[in-house]
Amino acid sequence: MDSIIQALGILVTFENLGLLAIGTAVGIFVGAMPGLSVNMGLALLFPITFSVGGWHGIIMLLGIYCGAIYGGSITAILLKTPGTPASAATTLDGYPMARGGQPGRALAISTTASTFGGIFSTVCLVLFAPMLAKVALQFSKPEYFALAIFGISMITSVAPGSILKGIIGCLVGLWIATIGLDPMSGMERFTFGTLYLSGGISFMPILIGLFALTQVFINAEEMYHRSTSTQRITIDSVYPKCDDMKLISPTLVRSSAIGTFIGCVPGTGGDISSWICYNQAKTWAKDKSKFGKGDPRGIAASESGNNSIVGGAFIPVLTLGIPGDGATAIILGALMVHGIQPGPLLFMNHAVDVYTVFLGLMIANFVMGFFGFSLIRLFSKVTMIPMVLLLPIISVMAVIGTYSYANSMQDVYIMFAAGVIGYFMYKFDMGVPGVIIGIILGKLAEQNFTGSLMMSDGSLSIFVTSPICCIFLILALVGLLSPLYKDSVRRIFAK
Amino acid sequence: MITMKRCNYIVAAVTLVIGVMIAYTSYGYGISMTMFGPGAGFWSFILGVGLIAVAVLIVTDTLRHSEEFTAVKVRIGEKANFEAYKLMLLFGAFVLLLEILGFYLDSFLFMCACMYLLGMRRFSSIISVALVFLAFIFVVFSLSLHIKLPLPIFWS
Repeated sequence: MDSIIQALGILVTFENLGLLAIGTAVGIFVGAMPGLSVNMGLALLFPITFSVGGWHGIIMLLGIYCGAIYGGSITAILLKTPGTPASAATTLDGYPMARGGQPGRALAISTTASTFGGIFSTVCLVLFAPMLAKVALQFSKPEYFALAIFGISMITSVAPGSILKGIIGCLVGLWIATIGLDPMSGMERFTFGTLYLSGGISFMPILIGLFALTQVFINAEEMYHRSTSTQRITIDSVYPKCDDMKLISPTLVRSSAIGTFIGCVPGTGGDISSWICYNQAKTWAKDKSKFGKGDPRGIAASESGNNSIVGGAFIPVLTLGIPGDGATAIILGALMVHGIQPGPLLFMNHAVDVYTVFLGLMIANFVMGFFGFSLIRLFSKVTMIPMVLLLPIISVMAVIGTYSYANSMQDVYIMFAAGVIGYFMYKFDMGVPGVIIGIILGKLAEQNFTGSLMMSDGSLSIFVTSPICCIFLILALVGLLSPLYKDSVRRIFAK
Repeated sequence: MITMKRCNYIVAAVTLVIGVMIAYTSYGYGISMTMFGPGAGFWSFILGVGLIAVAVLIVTDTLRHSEEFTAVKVRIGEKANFEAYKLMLLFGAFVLLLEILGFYLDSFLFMCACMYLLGMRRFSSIISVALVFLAFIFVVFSLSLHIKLPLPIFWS
């Protein structure tokens, strides 16, 4: 208790709360801007922590982290352009709801889900950190591979078009992830002798190309049929309705729990979590027909799923000193630069530091929710910009986001190619999420697959001997084969 | 306008070619077990074979549901599509000229051309929107965040 009071003493000062609010607002802005990622925002603002010094800087980074993950949903809902990869799943239902004249409702659900997910995971972090860390510690290579396969199996439900074509996208995504140096032997693969490809292709240009630029081309085509390009939408309420709250409550709890668990597994992140939570929400729903057409549960699942990884991701960071994703790696670096060495001893010797992070995350989530609800009307103004102005702006933002990620023109060329290919994928009824899922999970799947085979001297039995591994693989199989049996199951339940 | 049946055959053919290329190239990297574990091409070989299998499944599925796929039309050669194709060409030119003209000049020209292409005809509005937006980008990205954007070839 003394540690908590001391941590509150550090946090609750005018300067720290002000920096937390600034960090959260900057985070929302960074997250909302297509092409600016959480990692990029943290990395760009990391040097500022030196100028403000000590806990002030770290608290600001916590605000940026929470705010940026939430901010990504704003443009995902209003423009179908996810500000961060973690919000890509939000476009599936958020954008149709906004296009249906209810952007305020979609944003309100998103803010509620994000705030709930963030607070839920922080409470879990405080209460169950040692226990959850133990579970994650039991994961070895076969379990990681099984987790990746489980993620890949989601294409059966997230692919908006044909399932077979969705699998093509996923396999191509997995192949893109193999480009570059083989992690085991160091051999160059599919590089065609180019230096750029030997480092592999980042998924950021492909993500921006497939989600932002493709949408620009589709909108340009749709503008030909539209009489007016201005989207004037009236928002009647900035708070979620009771009916919506009743509908999304089970989804919020389930997705937040899943997201927290996924977050504490190193190597995963908000992008994986949001797709898994979306898939689970769809699987558990009695009426699946509304998913993809503006179902509140879809938005709630994705947003609570991606925001709840924040608390979970801090478990391996604080208890083991292992970053769960790129963003926590930057924060880990910031902690170490400021003289705080995360690890098991941190809980024993520096409990105040641990609780300062816990409480900092908690307050950051409340501030994020406050900003989200109070600025929803302002955010929705984005959709009132005529499409004729919006399309060139998004195009230029796509170039800025892609180029600034690694200062690489090759990334811009890849983004352009991905945008053109994405347009034809859309025309040919091929879902683009599969490609992104494939790229995100590709390295995780390959490294752990080959690592597992090394552990077992080439025997595939290693994937069925671990109970955790078995559960993930069975779930993956159930997901992948769902098109074969879902009609029969539906008929049985209808009777 | 073409049918989805034809689209499926195109998708299957492209997938088959990509799958064969990936599998063939991967085979060259080695797919047997070594002291470092499976060969460097083992995983990608599986993916290549998977793509070939899916291509075959698409053809089979299309043949089985031939009438359904024939009824679905895909619009790729209509006037509306050409609006998207024009924008693709414009964006391609924008990207190619980025290193020559630099980000700001190139973006200004692209934005003006894009707005004109999409139907905006008031030149004063076109120019002012492009200038205001690029000024905002300059303040946020170049001045505040210190993000380096491509400079014109004559600048350096």
